[in-house]
Amino acid sequence: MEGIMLNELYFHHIGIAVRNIEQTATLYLTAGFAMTEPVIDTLRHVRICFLKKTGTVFEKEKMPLIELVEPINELAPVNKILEKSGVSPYHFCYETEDLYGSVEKLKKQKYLLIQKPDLAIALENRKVCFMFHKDAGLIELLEK
Amino acid sequence: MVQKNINNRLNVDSEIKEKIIAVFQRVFETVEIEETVSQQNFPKWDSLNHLNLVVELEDEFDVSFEPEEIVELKNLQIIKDVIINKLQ
Repeated sequence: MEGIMLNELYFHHIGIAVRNIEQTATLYLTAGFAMTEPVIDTLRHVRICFLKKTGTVFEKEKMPLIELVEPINELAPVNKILEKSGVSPYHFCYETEDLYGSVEKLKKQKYLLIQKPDLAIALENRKVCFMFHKDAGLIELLEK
Repeated sequence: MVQKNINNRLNVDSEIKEKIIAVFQRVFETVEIEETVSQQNFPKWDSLNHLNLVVELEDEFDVSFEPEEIVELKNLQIIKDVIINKLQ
């Protein structure tokens, strides 16, 4: 049996629940991050942008990709994160070559599929899904 | 015969309900779980505990819930009905 994380998963980004993308992004822009144009994901009722540290200094290149997720209405699940924890990181996203295969393997490791694979407009319409493990929290899987 | 079947059904219902209540007690760390417990009347039943509850229910009954089922498990009665349906 493989460990809690599959060898076939590759870290992609950290998702942060925010109340207002521009307000949070300002902090990162000041610190030298570049920001993508926010897009609206109507499937998940959120507005999303990505922040990537620019520059050539080695330490800076090690900074992770950050996703800011802002609810656009009361149907967005991310509202519950904001209610409970305020603006906060709430998921790690991992890429995988075989999304459905990874889902099945993670299910065997007691991960719960809480959102079926579907297209993500903010990620070039690649398929994503969300899974939860009581000892690992929430993860997003992204089809490579 | 019919009466016996009804009694058997009632026993199964009752047994499953007791097991579900035991799962609730573990997840929410309280013995005070009413049969009428729901997301609306039990403040501890927040979104995170809901996921913990579903994980424990899957373990207890060796069943698997689909994402669209997970959001519908809003009270003990619904949970019991869904589990009985899966076990049949």
